[in-house]
Amino acid sequence: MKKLIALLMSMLLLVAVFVPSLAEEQIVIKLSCAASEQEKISCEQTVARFEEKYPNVKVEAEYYAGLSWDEIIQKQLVEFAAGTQADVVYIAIEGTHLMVEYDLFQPITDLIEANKDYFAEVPQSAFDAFKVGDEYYEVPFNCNDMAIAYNTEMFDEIGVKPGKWTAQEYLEALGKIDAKYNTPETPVTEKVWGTVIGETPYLWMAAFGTSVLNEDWTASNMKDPAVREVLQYLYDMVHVYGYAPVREANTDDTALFCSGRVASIFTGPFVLSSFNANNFKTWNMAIAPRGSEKGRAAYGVGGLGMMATCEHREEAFNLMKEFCSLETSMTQAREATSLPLFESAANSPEFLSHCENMNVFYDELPEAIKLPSPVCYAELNMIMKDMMNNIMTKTLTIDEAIEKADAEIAEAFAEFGY
Amino acid sequence: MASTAKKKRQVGMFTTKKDDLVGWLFTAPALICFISFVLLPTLAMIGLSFTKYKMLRPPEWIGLDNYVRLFTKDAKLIKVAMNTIKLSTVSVLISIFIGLVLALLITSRKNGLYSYVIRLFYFFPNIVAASFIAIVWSILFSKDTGVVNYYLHRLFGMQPVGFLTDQRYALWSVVFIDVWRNIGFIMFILLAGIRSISDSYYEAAALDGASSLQIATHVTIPLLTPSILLVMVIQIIGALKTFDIPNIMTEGGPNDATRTMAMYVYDMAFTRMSMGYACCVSVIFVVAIMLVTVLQFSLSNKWVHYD
Repeated sequence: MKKLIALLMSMLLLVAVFVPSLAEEQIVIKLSCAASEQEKISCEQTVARFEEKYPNVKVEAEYYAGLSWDEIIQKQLVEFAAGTQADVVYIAIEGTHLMVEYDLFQPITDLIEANKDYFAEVPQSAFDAFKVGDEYYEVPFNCNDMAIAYNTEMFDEIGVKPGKWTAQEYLEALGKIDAKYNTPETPVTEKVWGTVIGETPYLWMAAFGTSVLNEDWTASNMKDPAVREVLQYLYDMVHVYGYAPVREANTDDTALFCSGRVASIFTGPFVLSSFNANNFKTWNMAIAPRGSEKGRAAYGVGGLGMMATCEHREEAFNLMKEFCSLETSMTQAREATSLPLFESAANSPEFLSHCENMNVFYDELPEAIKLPSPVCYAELNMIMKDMMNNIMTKTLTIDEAIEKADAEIAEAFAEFGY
Repeated sequence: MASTAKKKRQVGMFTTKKDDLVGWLFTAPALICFISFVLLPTLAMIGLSFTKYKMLRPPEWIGLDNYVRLFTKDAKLIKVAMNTIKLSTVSVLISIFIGLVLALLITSRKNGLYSYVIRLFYFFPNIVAASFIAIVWSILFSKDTGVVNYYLHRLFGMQPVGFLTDQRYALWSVVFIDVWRNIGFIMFILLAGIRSISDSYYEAAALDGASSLQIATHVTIPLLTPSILLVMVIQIIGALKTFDIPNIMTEGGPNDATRTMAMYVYDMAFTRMSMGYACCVSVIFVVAIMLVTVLQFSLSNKWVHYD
């Protein structure tokens, strides 16, 4: 009897050890994704949909929030250096060139070409953001082109209905806001501001048809007279006309806008959900003012790239496709966390009902200019922040700040052998 | 009996091999942690300081190039080093002075509840995360939207002061917050020091008819100097490593007026990806901290009085 029990136990043990290995092998794809609490829910739904479609693939997702793009790029680089990188990584246009420079991403042009029909509704400009040389490296996941959000009550009060406007007309509108809500005796700390200047000048550079970098993002363009013109325009807005406060490290544009302290801000769709969260209803969108005929809106795209070390190429790409799907676009449309990439979602009542001119985002996208995102983006961003800070705090003159930034950009590119 | 046992354990000069082994086993966890997390990283840092290292590419040996750059070409580093020295010196001196005054005042009060409330009040900033402190103070200090400027205008008709945007004031604003944050901790250490002073000194001073001020300056403070030295060493090392508050409040601006050495090393390592150069700056920084500490201890013979 004892022998029989021992035999049965041994057989059970063998079954326990070998049966799982006989079952279909489960593929694990590691995903690293920046997402706010709201976006995380949408991402988890996307992952759940994917796992349902592909039961043999398990997604191990890591979500994190509260990091700027340079910090996200740093995180990915450090993880790669430590050998703990994911297979699929969420990186916006800001980090693509660096990831490619270090051979961290593998090209996915063939996979994108093979799925042309699937991506038919997605604007080509979203894919172009991730093209380095002749290859595509990411599948777009979300998109933000920049426009002006304005307080409808305030603009109605001054009788301005923003439409296609020039930078000069925008300035005049801010002048009317200033005259309406402030007097010469109003203390600075109680003023109603026309706008807040961003910590970097990229959006205004695009609005004036120029850029801080040359066209292929390999050198500085700071000596372009149009760059100086933009910086002068922004400086005047703060120090000559007093329509904008001096920006500080923790200036919160959205909070100032929602509290009625600021009449308009430059923003993309990603901020709009926080208007709702603050129960702020009296807002509308207008296209980015143009400083010249070449002026355009600027846009950035977030996407998913496949790490060079990813072994399950097809499964990883299927996951990337799921993130760039009509379902995900519709969630983005409903929640206004991004410009939906699928045209039908961008033109859906769910998205367009957020405000009267919600269409400006999708309408502007085909002509919009990519945010400058060179291989040394983190350095560039730091240089630009310093430059704006030095100009706006009157620490340096515009010409001194341009000179300094130009030299620093050249040094940053030199580090990469440009 | 005990002597026999002791003799059995002692072989040669000190102990038996068995005792050695036990000793090593007891110290092994601490030793392993020290080697893994302090010694090896420090050696790696020194080694990497002689390389060009971008983290994702293998380090490339460049000899003393980083050190040459540091001492001859890096003008920004001088400014950053000066900021760090100013911040740590002024902040520590003021913090210790205020902490000492508060400790003396609290000791002179007999009301227990009063002392308790005051101690709690001053210690509170020390238990709040630095990031919260930085964000709250940057909102308060904002030039155009801040509460401090609002009241300065309301009460005194003053024009807004760029506490964080004017390079004349930005560093001192950081110093102010550092002092505000640290005085509670210093006060506590000094209070403990005061309480460890023997009552006989005070009794003798009282018999001699010394006033409160005389007792403080001739008895309490001289006998408190070991505690002051301790606080000074801890605070100076901490202040030299200041990173979080200026990084959140000003990001090092305007024009690097609030950038500290720790921020500079971080920027070099993780923003500019120049890990080799960051290691080089760190080596010099560590050596500087060691020198300052050695200097503090060697000078302490002249002003620290041990009971």
